[in-house]
Amino acid sequence: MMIMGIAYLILGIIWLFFTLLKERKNGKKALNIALTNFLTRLPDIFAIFLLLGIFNQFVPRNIVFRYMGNAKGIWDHLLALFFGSIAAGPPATAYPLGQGLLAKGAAVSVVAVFLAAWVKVGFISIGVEIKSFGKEFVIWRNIVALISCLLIGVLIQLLYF
Amino acid sequence: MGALGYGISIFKRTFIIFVSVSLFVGLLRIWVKPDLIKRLFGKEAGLRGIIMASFIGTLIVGPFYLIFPILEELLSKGARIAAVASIISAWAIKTPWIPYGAAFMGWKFIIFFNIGLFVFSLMEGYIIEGLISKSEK
Repeated sequence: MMIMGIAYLILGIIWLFFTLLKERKNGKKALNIALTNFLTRLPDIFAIFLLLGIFNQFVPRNIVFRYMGNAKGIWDHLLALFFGSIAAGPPATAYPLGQGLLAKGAAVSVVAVFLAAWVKVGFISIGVEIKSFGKEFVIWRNIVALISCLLIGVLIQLLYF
Repeated sequence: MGALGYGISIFKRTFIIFVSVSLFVGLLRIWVKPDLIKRLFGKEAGLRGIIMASFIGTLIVGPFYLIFPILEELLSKGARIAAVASIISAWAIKTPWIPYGAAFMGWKFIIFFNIGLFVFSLMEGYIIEGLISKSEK
């Protein structure tokens, strides 16, 4: 993860350097925009940092396992949708969790819904999403995403018959 | 303590990426012409534009606080809502992680899971755009 961050930073700096060389005036404008953007969004990054930390502490695997081991019914799918949505973390965490749930007897459809919601729906990211695209877009996108997760769960289950 | 160390490492990571985001937003604002975006992701691009949007979505790597501001730039330069929505939906796929996922969930699951995500991302773009324009009436 850090590698990716550093890679992007290096890319950005090189690009900025190149821009300042080739298009001095525009380069300065870009820097200006970057600075404004940075200062404007700085509160966001603290909020994200806090949320990520909190969610990682307070939504531990145990809870997910307790509620979703051996999950099969409709209610379990909705729970899977919920837990997937509020999950804060990279796929690195999601997939092992999915395998663990399967091992404990959760239905494939439930795990599919859980993983789909994990990657498609973002509870933590919703603040930034709204700032970027507006409330209406975000509401519709997430509603549609939630429905898709359930449908994907159904389709995956069909695979395993 | 472990929690503090973890918190610091998260902060370092988010901060570095965040600086990159601001740089990219500024640079994209300067370099990317609205014409190009309209041609690639505007209404006139049609289905091909949506397919490309979804395809690009599968390739992008990064956290939401990197991706969303950049997509916001695209939107402001003339990308249609369906294109941006498709990119976000397809971004769920996270291609580099597929082999990792397969190690835990099996290739059968992963392949069909991601095919499903991709197909849905194509549809979702149109659906979301339609829902928004309907509710604006």
